[in-house]
Amino acid sequence: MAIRKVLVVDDSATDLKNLEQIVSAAGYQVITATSGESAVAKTKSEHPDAVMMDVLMQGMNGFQACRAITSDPETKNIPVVLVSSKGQKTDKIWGAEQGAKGYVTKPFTSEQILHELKALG
Amino acid sequence: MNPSAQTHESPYSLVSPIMALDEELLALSSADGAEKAAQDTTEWLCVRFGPIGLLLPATAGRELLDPPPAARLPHTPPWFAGLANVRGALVPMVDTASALDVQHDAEARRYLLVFHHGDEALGLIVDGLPRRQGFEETERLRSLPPHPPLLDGLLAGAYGRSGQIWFEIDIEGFFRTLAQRIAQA
Repeated sequence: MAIRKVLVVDDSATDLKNLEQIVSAAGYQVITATSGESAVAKTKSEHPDAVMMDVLMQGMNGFQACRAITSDPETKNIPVVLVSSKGQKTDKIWGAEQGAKGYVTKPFTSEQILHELKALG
Repeated sequence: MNPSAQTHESPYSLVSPIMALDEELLALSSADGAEKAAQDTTEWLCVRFGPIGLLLPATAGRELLDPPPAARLPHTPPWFAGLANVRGALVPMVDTASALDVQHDAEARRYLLVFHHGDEALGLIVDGLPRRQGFEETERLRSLPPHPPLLDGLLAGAYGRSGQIWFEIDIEGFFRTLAQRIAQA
């Protein structure tokens, strides 16, 4: 399925803006969320084609939100890419176990982000 | 509780092979159909502590880490590994296999599975990678197999698969039990 609408999630306003600009500049429609909880809600209400989500967030973190999205029959087909400063191999394994389709380590380049999005489509 | 006191005769180190021979472990019946099987499948987060397998809610576990160094605290049980600094937050670490009085799986890599956050954060040292797996009702055992005393009153049932017993546990109750044991030490 072609990726057109992307939900970008980060509780850091700076990181959210940065990621939003990279994705929108490439022609994708971008919607945003600033917490894991709101990300889960927006996957249901906005039906994005993909989610790019930070991991380290207060409350429900990116791992937990990814698991919630990928285990809900209504949203399980929406691919999630985790974007995090947590770059250990264990983090990537745990991310994959939560259902993430990709993992980008911060700091990232715009090419890395767009490569992950294209790989989903 | 002393790990050095563990011997091969420890009943819990033998749980898996024993139960592999028990008829309770055999699938009770073939699936009535794929549709029914799908309906009867429950997904869990499966974690192992030596020979003991526990089934946690699939939503359990906040993050998985390589076990960080921990600062031990005086007057705590030997299985309380101490406090770890996880990005500035103090996370109590429990050597769960030791708490259950079983030996770690020497072949398995150890991880720290962290639950909750803030003041409620708690990390359990697990053997091997926790996995999300679905179990069918046909794999459910009719009776509760032998288990460590620490789990008494916390188990809602058990499943058997490939010689491994998986206990369905009240994980929040387990956390309360651990906290009580630490407070009593």
